Amino acid sequence: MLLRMVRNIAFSDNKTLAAALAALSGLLPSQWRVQDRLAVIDCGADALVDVTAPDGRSATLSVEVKTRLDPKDVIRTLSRLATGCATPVVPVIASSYLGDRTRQRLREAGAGYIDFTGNVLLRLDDPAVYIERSGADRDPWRVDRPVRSLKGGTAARIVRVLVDFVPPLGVRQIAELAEADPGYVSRVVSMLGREDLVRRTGRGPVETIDWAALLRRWTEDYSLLDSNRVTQYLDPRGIDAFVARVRGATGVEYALTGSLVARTVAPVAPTRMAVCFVEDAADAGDVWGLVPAEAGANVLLVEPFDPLVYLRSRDIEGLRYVGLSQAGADLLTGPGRNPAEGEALLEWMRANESEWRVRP
Amino acid sequence: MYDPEYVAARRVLLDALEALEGQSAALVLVGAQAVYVHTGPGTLAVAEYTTDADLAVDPRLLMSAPGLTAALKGAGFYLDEDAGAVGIWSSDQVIEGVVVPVTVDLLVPMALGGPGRRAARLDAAHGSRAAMKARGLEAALVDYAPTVVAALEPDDPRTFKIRVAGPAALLVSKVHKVAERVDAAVVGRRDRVKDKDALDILRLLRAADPSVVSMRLTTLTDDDLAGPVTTEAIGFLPALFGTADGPGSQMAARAAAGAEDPDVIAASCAALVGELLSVMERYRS
Repeated sequence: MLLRMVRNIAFSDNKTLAAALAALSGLLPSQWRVQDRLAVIDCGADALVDVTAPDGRSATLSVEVKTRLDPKDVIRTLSRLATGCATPVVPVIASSYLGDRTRQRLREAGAGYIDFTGNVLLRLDDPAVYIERSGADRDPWRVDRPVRSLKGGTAARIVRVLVDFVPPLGVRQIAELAEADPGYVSRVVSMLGREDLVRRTGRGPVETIDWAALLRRWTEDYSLLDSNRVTQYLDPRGIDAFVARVRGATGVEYALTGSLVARTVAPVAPTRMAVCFVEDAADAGDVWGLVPAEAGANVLLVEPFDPLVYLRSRDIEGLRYVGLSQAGADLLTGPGRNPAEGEALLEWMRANESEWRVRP
Repeated sequence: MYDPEYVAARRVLLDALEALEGQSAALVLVGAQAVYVHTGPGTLAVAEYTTDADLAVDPRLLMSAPGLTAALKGAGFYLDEDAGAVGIWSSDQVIEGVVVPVTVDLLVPMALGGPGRRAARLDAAHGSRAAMKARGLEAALVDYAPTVVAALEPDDPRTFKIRVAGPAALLVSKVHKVAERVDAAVVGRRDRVKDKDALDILRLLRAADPSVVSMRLTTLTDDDLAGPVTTEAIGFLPALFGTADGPGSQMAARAAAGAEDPDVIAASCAALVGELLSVMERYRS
């Protein structure tokens, strides 16, 4: 089984699982049995575990081992756990440490959890079990290493907040807006401070933000073509026909980016490539009648590496566009003449800051 | 704001329609200006039409008066005799300070043009060089709709109701033109290759509903006059436009080069022709 790293302490998934099951066993009366089925699993879980009472009644847990689970990912993780199981199961998350908000969301969703600091929640109807224990409120294994890059969704959300909102912005405020851990925000802000992209006095709020330079700095770690999954399509009737079809179709989650966004504020040249974020490129391509294309593509359907690209989207005349900061980063790292269009968009944003930058 | 060349081209078309008003029942607007009627100001960043207008003439519906030659000469049109012009009627226009001959071509479908090489054989009242024979225009005399055409300049109040060839008929005539040009290129006359007609085919296919065009083409194949050229044109499509590498797709790509991505243009031709042919296949079966 694949070894994963939890911070700088290594646990393999199965070691975590074994430890979790042992801890669970210790919390139940001695006649109860906790048994890993060790069978081929048809659901999305890492293990199916039977909890059996002395009278023979038993319930099945679908246990997922996570090296880390953020509050925002709880629902997605649980919905994957619930699918495909032949019999009713109780989802349980096992991890070295689960934060307070993560635990709260798991509880609200009816799931159980167990972590190595002693946080445990297990609720079964039949046989009836209710175990709730509190462990640590802080991750004891956490090492606050300095942040060196803006890779990943959380860093990207923090960058987008710093570009989209007018300072002053406190660290807690940024953390809330970006749905990120305040400790991590603080470290990202420190890094940006070292690079002179933001300024703050002591531990006070971020007072000035060079948003254009920050956006460019982000594109060293984010690229439309490399960070996301890009599929090339052709709309043989042209880009305007594609846009009309997008406007007319319902049921596809999307946000247009690239030149199509630039032309809503600062048209430079006729759009030769439509770029659109979608959840599933193949589905969207079907719905919109696009032809998969090797050469001669005029539409790129992009499955985003993180849903952050949809944050602060704008609806204009029946079409959904990504926010300007997202479009700027996408253009600067996009194909063909996109980078030049990105420069023009940033120029427009600089000249019209009050039209797009808002107070939190 | 219209390009001054477009304004002049429309003015000259209206001059010709005015001169030939007594014969309007025998005329159908074809060519790039007719394509433009269907597609409107397109999304391709390439000029929509050149300055000439093409009128298909149905000799069966021509009346003996007014004579075509006399009527056009009376309105200031002339045939460039030095160039041996047949059916290409010029009218000198001033466009941005320069005198430029703008032309109206009178074209008779091959099947109705009588014997002879270039000139259509018409009633003597019309003159022997009034109209030229052209391949593939037969369908335009069957598939058309009356349309009102107005001037593009505010101080010209003229409007005419003229029959404009439908998308299916225009497709047939443009495919014949492209096929002729591909043949010409094969026998070494590269100078005759004009790529614009292939791009007009893409414009038509982009703007038109494939099921409507398929139905119309199917009807045209059953028509006595239009049937042979329509069947021929449909037969040309796979080789010319069936793939992005086909000579027709490549002509369209060349015509758009510089303004559009040639690969997108060529792939679009192939995709839309493929779509049209498969819809027609479904109609037949």
